[in-house]
Order: sequence, then C-alpha cells, then structure tokens
Amino acid sequence: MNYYHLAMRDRLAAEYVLGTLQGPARRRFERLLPAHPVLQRAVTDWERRLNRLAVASPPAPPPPEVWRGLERRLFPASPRRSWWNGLIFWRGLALVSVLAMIVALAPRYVLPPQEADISFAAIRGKQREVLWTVALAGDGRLRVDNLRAMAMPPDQRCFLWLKTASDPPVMLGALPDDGSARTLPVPAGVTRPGRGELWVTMQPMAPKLQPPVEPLYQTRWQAL
Amino acid sequence: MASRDPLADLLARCALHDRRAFETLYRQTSPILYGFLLKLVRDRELAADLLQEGFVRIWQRAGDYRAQSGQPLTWMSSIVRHLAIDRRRRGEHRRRAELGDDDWAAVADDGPSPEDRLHVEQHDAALARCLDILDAEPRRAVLLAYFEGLTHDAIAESLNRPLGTVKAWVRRSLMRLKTCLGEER
Repeated sequence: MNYYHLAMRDRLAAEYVLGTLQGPARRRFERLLPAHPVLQRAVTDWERRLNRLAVASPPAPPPPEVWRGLERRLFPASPRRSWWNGLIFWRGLALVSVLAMIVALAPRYVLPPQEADISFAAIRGKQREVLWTVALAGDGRLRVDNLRAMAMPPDQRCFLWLKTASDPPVMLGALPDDGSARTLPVPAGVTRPGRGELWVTMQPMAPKLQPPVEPLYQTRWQAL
Repeated sequence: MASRDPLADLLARCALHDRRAFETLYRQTSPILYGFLLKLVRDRELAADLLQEGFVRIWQRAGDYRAQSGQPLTWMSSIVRHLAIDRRRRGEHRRRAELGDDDWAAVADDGPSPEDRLHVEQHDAALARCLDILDAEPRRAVLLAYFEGLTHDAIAESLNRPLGTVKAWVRRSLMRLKTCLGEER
C-alpha cells in the first residue's frame, strides 16, 4: 500500500469516526471494515483520539430511573416486591436480598397474591434477538419496552395482541419502535391477560384494525 | 502504571453476565457518560433515555471490547455518542420536515457553542493544548461534527461558509490533532 492509500485510509477512518463521512461513502467504508483489520485499527485509533473529548465532559449524576429501567430490561426475572415502582438503586441490592429472605420465610404475609402475580414475556425477532419485553404487573397494567430502535417501513406500526385458544386476538395496543417504553392498559373484558399467547403484527395505523389471522412474531408468558 | 484498567476487568466480567460487575461499572461510569450525553443532546430526559440504551448495549456487547479498542471509557463513550447522533439525526429529520430547510441553520446555533461547553482544560490538558493549535473556525467545525453530529453540509450552513472550505478545515484539523496528540505521548 503506497503512501497515498495510507493517507486516504487514515482520512476516511478519521471522518468516519467524526461522523462527517456520509452517504454512499460511509456505507462503502462500513462494508469494507469487517474484512480489513488495518482499517479497523485506524478507526479504533481515531476513536481513542476523538473520544478524549467525551471523557473531558463534566460528569453529572444520572436520574435513578435509568438504573431501574436497566434492571427491568436486562434482569427482568430478579426477585422484587415493589416491581412496578422499582427500588432506589443505591439501596436496591440490599433490599432485594432482604426481601428475598422475607419472601422465602413468610410469603403470605408479605406479598398480596395479586402483586406476586407478575408475568413477563420476551418477543424475539427472526434472529432470536429480543425486540420487546412485555411485563404484566399485578395492577393490570402492561409495560412494553422496545429494546432497540427499529427501522420501520413508512406508515407501518407494530401492534400487540392477546391470543387465547378459542377467541380471535384482542388488541392490546401499538408497540413503541423507537427504543422507548410504554404502558398499556389492559382492555376491558380481558379477565386473564396473563394467559394465552402474545402476538405481534405489523400493519398500517388505522382507526379500527381487523384481528390478524397469524402473527409476525409470537411468544408465551412466563410467570415470575 | 502497566496494570490493567479496572474498568476493563469489569467489562470482561460483564461479558460473562456478571450482574454485580455491571452494577459496579454503572456506578463508576454512568455520571461521566451522562455528563457527556447532556452535552451532546442538552436535554435531561433524552440524555437519561440514551444512557439507558447505551448501557443495554454495553451489557450486550461487553464481549466485543478489546484492549486495542482504547480505554474502556473511550469505547463506552463511542457507543453512547453513536446513539445520540442517530437519535438527533432522526429527530432533526422530523424537525426539518416540520420547519422547512430555512430553519435548519438555526438548529445548530441555539444554545451555548461547543467551545463553551468544553471543560477540557481541567480534564485533559494535552487535548486542550492540541485544540488550541487549531484556528477558531476550523476548530468549531470539528466540534460541531463531534458534539452535534453535523454533516459537512450542515456545518457549512451553520457557519455560513462554502462546503469546500468546511471540508478542507475538517480534514486539516483532524490531521493536525493527530500529529499534536501523537507528540504528547
């Protein structure tokens, strides 16, 4: 590789990291990257240089909701009494272990039955990656978390349905697709939302959606 | 001095799904990354949202971290910065559609300038010195790209300079930074 190529490679890596390499050039660079360790090296060198700007920012304490959200998304099966409102992060660990002990010793006195009845489901994509988590709290609200922002076709949304054995699916609501979370009320008439299957469909937003015949994705509830 | 960065050990343990290590990593690094995100997006709620998203990725990709990826904190910063820029670009596409292109230049101008938001001097004197070597406008172009995620076109519009000039500024400034930071070692 001659000097011109070396310099060009370094320049492309620099602008790639800075973000000014755009459009087809950026896509082409990204396609080359996996197969070219030398380019990868140039990129990591530039990340090391430029991200010194990041580390030089004044720190700020993040709001405690961030940690609570992380726990909910990453460790949804962790034992927790006040699951819905979460625990304050700094006391979380200690409380969880104390509660686990109390729960083991005297469940009847500590947990009202409906609050212990938390169901959880993970909706996975074609590559088995988790796209959404759905949690049903004892108070009947559904919390849906979109784990990664998704590239959606224009005018299409993803919808969550509850499918029980005999009945047509019941719509639970539109799913977030921008990496955010949303709380959905359980529709009137659904008496046991934690039973049956969850279906996801992709369809255009419309005032009245027809129940689907088959889902794009489906999953079952797991009891916690 | 040659000892391994304790954050690298925490990341290695996260790759093995060690939840305690993840909690420690979060406690130690989230204020830095949150501070950085606040500077990137200037919105507490959005910064908190991106911090959460960033740590989800850090947990999922901890196994990809290698010592040659630079310091763990640099690697983590890179993850949250890409999220912030992606989100900003998506948001600004919407904003552009609503407001029209004429208002676009104003988007880059509101709020304090990137230089004002830099507190580099206290934290990384070498980096501050190297930034000082650059002329004011080229430096601003680089910082707009880094902190605001602006493209060459958007920088040209924001600084009211020809596109070719901005491209040359960015290219030369990056190379000057490289040389300067290389000499600092």
